[in-house]
Amino acid sequence: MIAPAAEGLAHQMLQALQREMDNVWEEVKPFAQTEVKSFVENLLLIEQLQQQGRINATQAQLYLEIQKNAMRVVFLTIEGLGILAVEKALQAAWDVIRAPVQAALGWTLV
Amino acid sequence: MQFRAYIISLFSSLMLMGLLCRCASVNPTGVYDPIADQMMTTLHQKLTRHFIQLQTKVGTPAAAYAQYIEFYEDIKVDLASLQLRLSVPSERSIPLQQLQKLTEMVQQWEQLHQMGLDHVAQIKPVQASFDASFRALLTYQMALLQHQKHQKE
Repeated sequence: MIAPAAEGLAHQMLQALQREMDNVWEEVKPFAQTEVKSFVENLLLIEQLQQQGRINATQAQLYLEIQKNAMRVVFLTIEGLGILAVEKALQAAWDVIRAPVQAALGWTLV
Repeated sequence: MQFRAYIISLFSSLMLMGLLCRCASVNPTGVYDPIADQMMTTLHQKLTRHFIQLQTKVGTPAAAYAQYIEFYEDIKVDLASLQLRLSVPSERSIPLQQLQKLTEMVQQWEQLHQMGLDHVAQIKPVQASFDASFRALLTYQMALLQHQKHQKE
C-alpha cells in the first residue's frame, strides 16, 4: 500500500536528492519538488489500477518501468541543472579574477 | 642540459594541457540545439494527440493496437532522427541519455497497448509520465539556452 505513505515517500525522496545535491539544491529544488510529487501521484494511480483489477502483474511491471524511466529523465535534468549551476559559479569567479590577472601578466587570458 | 630539461618539461606540460582541453570539449551537459528543441516539442505534440485520441476511443475497436501501428513507426523514426542529431556533439551527453530513456518508454507503452486497453484510467498514468519526461527534457533545453547566452555575455 503506497497511498498512506505517499507524502512521506515524496519527502524522503526529496531529502535524498538534497543530500546528494546540497551545493546546488536551491537551483534545482522547485523542479525537483514538482516532479517528485507528480511521480508519487502516478505510483498511486498504478496501484489503484492493480487494486481495481484493470491490469495484471505483467502490465503493472510495465507501468512501473515507464515510471522509472520518466524519473530517470527527471533526475538527468536535475543532474544537468546542477552541473550548469557549478559552471555558472566558476565562470562568475573567473570573471572576478580575469582582469587583475590579465593586468599582472600583461597578456589576455581566455 | 638544464635548459634542455626545461624545454622537455614545458613541452610535456603543453601536451598535457592540450589533452585536457580535448577532454573538456566532450561536454557531458550537452549543447543547446534549437532544431533538437523543436523536434522534442513536435514529438511531445504527437504523443499528446495520441493519448487524447486514445482516451476518446478506448473501449472501442478504434483504440486497438492494430489501428496505431503507423503511429508507432512514425514516432520511432522521429526518435531515431533526434537520437542521431543529439549524438553528434557527444555520445554520453545528458540530452542523449534522456532520449534513450524516452525511447524505452515508447517501447514499453507500445507493449501495453498491444496487451489491450479498456479504460481511460489505463492511459492517464502513462500520459502523465510522458508529460513529466518532456517537462524535464524541455526544462533542460531552456537551461542550456540560458547557459549559452550567459557564456556569450
